Amino acid sequence: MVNLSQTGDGTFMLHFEGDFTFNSHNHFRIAIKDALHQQASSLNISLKGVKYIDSSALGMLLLAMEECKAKNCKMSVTEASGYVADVLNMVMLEKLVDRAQA
Amino acid sequence: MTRPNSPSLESLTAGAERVAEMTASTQWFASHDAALQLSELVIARQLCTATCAWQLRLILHELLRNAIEHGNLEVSSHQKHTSLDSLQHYYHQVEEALNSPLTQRHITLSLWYKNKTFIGQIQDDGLGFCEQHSQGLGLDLLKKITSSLTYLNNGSLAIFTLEDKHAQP
Repeated sequence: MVNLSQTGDGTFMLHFEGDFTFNSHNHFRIAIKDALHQQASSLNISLKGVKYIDSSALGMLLLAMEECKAKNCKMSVTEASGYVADVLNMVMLEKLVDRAQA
Repeated sequence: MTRPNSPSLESLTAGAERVAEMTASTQWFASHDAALQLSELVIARQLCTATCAWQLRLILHELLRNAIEHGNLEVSSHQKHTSLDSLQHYYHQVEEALNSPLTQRHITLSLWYKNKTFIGQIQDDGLGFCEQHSQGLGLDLLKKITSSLTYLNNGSLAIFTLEDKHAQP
């Protein structure tokens, strides 16, 4: 489940719950587009409720980061824990750094 | 893609217990979460730690997605890496392929267990892929989680090992 809320002026929070896999792509895409359409300057994606994540979801986070960057919106991924945090640490950190520097 | 120094499946599985062996159509694997079911099975049988079961689920999930979508259904992963909007195109390509004769191609999944290590093999009927040109994160993830990963038959056969590093000695 994906839930987008505005937490301040130009600041948005996207809460994710359940398994984050390719099956989530449409809800995720719509939520990101919605935040950018509302001219978000900051978007925090919380993975607190996510218990499982796969490489498709990691790819979607990277694509979202690129689209946010193109719209001058700062995107962050927070509150990942347990195995989800392990997977993010394994693959995402270096990719995020690569893209942030690109 | 064959690595001459990789141990053979026969030597890896010598004396190992066969945990699962299943052959089914692409359609069946696309509509059943075999990775989740097998990870629950190994937990129920107390074969490994929860961490190892979670890793096993992720490995099987990634390898089965590859076998289904890129192997048997021959859908290129390119659209998954282009933009958020292109994900829809990718989804429709997979759905279309699942309604084509390609969906009758088979996948075979085999899993063994020996000395706190799982040995798995997943084979599809597709044309294979070039490991060097793979652009997805899946392969990066698999290489980091597995203890070893070998592709044979041009990439249509994957053999992995996963050691339960958190198991009690």
